[in-house]
Amino acid sequence: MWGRNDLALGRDPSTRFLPGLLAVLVYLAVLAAIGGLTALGFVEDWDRRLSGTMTVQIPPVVGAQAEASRETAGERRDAVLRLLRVTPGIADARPLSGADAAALLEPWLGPELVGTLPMPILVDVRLSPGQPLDRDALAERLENAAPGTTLDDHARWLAEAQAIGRSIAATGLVVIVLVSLAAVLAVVFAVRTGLGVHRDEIEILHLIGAPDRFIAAQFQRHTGRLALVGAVIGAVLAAATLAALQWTAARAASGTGPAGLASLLSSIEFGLRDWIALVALPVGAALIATVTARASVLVALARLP
Amino acid sequence: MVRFENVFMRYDGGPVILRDVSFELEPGSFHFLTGGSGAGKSTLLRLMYLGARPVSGRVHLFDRDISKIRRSERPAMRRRVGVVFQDFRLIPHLSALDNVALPLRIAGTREALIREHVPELLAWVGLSGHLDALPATLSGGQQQRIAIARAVIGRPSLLLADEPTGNVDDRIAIRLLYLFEELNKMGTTVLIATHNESLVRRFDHPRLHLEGARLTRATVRGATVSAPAGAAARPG
Repeated sequence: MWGRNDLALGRDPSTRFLPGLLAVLVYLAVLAAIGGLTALGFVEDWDRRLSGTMTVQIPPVVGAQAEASRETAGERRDAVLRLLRVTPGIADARPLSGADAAALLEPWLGPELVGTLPMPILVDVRLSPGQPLDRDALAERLENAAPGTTLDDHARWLAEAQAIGRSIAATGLVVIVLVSLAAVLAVVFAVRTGLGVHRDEIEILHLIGAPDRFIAAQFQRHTGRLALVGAVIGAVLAAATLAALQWTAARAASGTGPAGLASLLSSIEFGLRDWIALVALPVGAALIATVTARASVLVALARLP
Repeated sequence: MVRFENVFMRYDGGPVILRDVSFELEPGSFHFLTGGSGAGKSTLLRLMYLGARPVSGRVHLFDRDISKIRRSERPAMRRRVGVVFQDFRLIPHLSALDNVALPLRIAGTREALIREHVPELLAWVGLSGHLDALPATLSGGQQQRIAIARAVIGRPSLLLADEPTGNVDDRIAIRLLYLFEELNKMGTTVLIATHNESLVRRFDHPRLHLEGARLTRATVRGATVSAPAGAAARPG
């Protein structure tokens, strides 16, 4: 009984635009959601990888200073490592090999310069969990051991990265809210037009004893079905777009190496949260359309005697 | 069943349609409602099927004051009232069968029962060959019979018919009146608004007569009429 449509809403031109509109809205919402989730994922990943680590940078000694100090790069490195390994709170300290350091800098400096420029020595430091470390005192002792040596706990970089990542996620959320609002307005418009077009039939149903929910069910079912079709199309197109983007990035990454932006993009994996967003957004859009249609009809019918 | 107490009715500041109308229909009674065009017959019926509220006075339906019936209770009350509208009010894109089935579907009747009873009733009103016909493809008289079938299919407690024989020949009109009488014998209270004097004379039922917005004349059998001053009431 409730599955029937006595109002022939399917012939109503006022709702024909809904699937197309919902497809566009859900497409945008999915891209915004996945973009936001990816940005948050990067932040969480960086936070996880970098917390509990520090990088010590021993700059090269060049020119007259080098002659004056008569220190070799190896002596400076050994002095720093000795200090780090006896400092309470540090679990491990490993210098990066020259090749690893060069690989990190090559995308920015190019292979020619990397080979000729004096390179700093980078030491990867892992902290002991739960053991406090006086960073200021360590920085001072490092400066004494090898002048010019700096200690980077990544806090500033991470804070900036987190701020950017959260801004992207917030923008994605704003897009989803705006898209939802647009969907609600479109459904309200379509339903109001439909109520006007079918006013006579609705009055007949009303006068022969149809409860408001009987009439509202016809609108909500019809609108929900149209919205779901459009939303699924939008989600599928968005998934295809993301797959194409990742494929393009992977192709580009093969030329730029592991440190490039394309490599970063191609390394994104479609996680559980992304799948949930991909399924939840079209379903949510259809639900919003259904609930909005029902509410709009019930409000309009409340004016009948 | 139905009681009007000093009912006044007008639409949006227009002329008075009903003035100080009082009467009561007993359960199981059968009445004609007569009066000239514009006398207020349709409005009086409209008050009974909860299509409007009186400007003043009280209308009681099934022992309830309609002004005090909650909105959520109204659909169930309307389903106890079968209405044959003067302009039929069929849904144009639904077949004859689906139009007649509407009250049953609204009431949640099983589809198997609908498929059994609706064709039976349509056959009774002479439309067995038109189950799938759309209203626009049928004559006025055939549409009217669909409207009647829709009004009676749910065996209403009260049947209101506004000129139900206006578009059919005398033979069909008499047949439809017999249908209403059959329903009446099963306990349905019937009120038929009509211009057809010969039909009213042929069937020996009391009448309520509207003239100049007032209930001026009534034959009383099963109806209690509190006619205003100057109005005559005579036993039938």
